[in-house]
Amino acid sequence: MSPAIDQLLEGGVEQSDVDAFMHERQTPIVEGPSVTFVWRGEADEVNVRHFIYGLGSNQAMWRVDGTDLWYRVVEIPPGSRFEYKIEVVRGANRHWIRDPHNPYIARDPFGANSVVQGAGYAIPSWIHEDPDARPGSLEEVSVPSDAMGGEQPLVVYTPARMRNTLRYPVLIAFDGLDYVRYASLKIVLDNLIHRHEIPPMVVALSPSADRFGEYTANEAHARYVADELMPWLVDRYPLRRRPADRGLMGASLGGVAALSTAWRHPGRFGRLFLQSGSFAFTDIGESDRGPVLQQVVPWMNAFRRDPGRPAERMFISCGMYESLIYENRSLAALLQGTENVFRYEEARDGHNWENWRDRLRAGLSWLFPGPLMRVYE
Amino acid sequence: MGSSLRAAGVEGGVVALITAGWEERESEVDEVEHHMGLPVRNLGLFRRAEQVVESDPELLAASSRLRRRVREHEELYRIRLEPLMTALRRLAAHGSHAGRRAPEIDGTLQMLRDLDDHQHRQMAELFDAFRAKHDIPNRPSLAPHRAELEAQIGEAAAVAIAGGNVAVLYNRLRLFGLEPLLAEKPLLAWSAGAMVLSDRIMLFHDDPPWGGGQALVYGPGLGLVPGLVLMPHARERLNLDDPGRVGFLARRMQPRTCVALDPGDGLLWDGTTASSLSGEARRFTPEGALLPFDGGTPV
Repeated sequence: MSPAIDQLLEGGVEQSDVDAFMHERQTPIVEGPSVTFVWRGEADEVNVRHFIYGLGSNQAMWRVDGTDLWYRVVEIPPGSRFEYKIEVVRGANRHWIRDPHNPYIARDPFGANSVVQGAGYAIPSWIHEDPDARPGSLEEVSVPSDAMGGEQPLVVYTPARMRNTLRYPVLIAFDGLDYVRYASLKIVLDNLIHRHEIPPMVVALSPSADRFGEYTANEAHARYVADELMPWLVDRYPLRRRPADRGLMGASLGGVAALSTAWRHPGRFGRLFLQSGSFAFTDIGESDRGPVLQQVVPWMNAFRRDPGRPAERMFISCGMYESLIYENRSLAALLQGTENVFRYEEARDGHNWENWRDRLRAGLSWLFPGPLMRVYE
Repeated sequence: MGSSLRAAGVEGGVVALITAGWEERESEVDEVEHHMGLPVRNLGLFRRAEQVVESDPELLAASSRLRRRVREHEELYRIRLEPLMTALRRLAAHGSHAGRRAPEIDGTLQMLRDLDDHQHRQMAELFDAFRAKHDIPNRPSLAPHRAELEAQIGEAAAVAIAGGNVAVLYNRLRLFGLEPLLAEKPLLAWSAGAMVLSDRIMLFHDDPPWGGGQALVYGPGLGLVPGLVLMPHARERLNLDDPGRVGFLARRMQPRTCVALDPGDGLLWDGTTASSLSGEARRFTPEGALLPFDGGTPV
């Protein structure tokens, strides 16, 4: 139970008690492992709609008799972070709204959700703009492509004070602009470079107009990335040439694009950063995934039969509260029986951009270690 | 800084300043100049090196190859180092009698010292081979800069070496062959600037984003302050509250002495002996303690 609610409910509650209870209160109320969702208003039914896979997504809220206060207590493990909305039902109308008393909001391409920050979770310090960190630049360009049938848009991050007398590692990020918008990737790059945790590097932020087509292990897209985009980048920027200095990253279907591109072009990309990859497979039974992920299945089955060594290092992460945890744990188990060098990290979070944001430091600094050990000032 | 210079017998004149470790920020010296209390001449080693490689494509390509080789050596070194450090941690935590663990720990530390010496030699050979192959001491593209630097250092009352990227700093000092010139001058060096003066440059950070944070041999230093492993920003970078880590590092570095230097701490080196100049410079003991640096001639 929630100590705060218990105290409120002691000895009967009137509307004025609720006013006092809610005065300047931030919700949900986090008390150790207890998270209490609260909403006020007239409704026939109110539900917490959270995005934790495995826990019933519809958590009905209870009304405190004689008041307009609704609440629901949920127990969560320490360090958890997840997103939710409140569903208000009036007659036949169902409205999903953000929690009006919760200042924590996570945005994504579909809108925004309220966020629960469980006990022990802290927003990483390195996602905030550091006035001492020199900002890199973003340049909008377009890349000619036969494989994709025409010019492809691209935004390229270059580090502050880039010099032509040096050579830089390069990372291609699928859904790259979403990484910038929703996972603060540019700020994170500026900060980690400033802290010497990663080297100054070039990051190609690749958007997709048709990610369900291009990122579903699409052979033409892989050819574009390996045979057209990478040579174009090498021509235009001072880049290192070793595979160890070339990486691909992506989340969800972007993870599929990264892994499948490297697998189809072995020896070209030495570093892979795979976040909550949609690695659907059917080699041990039917997949109940929808039609988009069914497109991934034939390639993923082929990969699982013969994973080879798609990269020299892979960093794989997934949230424990997302359904893809099964596929990602399966991938980790599969790779464990091979010569692949990889790290696998789970977080108590869901399938969302802030989960992917929170793993950026660990993944980037492991794949591309910076000169931290060499700088003393 | 001003008081440190006076302690070294420098009362006036111009201070030649080396800030190459700051890389692109090399010219941002206003604050240092303010603290120095004497006129400063920035030697501009980083800028000079950039100019040299722009005019000398062969040297540019060779420098890129050298950096790649250094990275490769470091990767290979880490592959050998990590299991030894893991073994050391596991031995320290093992439940068996301390007396039975001791010889195993001693043996592992000896393997670490041997590996560190090997890495030191490898890097020294790599740098020497680069100098010889590309005739660094007599290379025409470097010669005018070297002559200017020789004159500027000759006119200076002292040379100050700031910190930054210790590898970049070491590389630029050697590229312009400044070791013999520095040996004849009073030197004021801090952070990475102090580290390069030792005969061995150790890289250290106990809490990097990944890994156990084991100290690494970068390679040889200039050897002007031999026998001491100078560890600036020690409190920030090292877990000094862990006697086990402190003790193992002290034993691994033997016969050299590890000295923790934090802001305000200073050592005075007179050419043969070191003494505490200011603050609370502390030496690591094999038992895992940190004791005030009491000076003396390093091994």
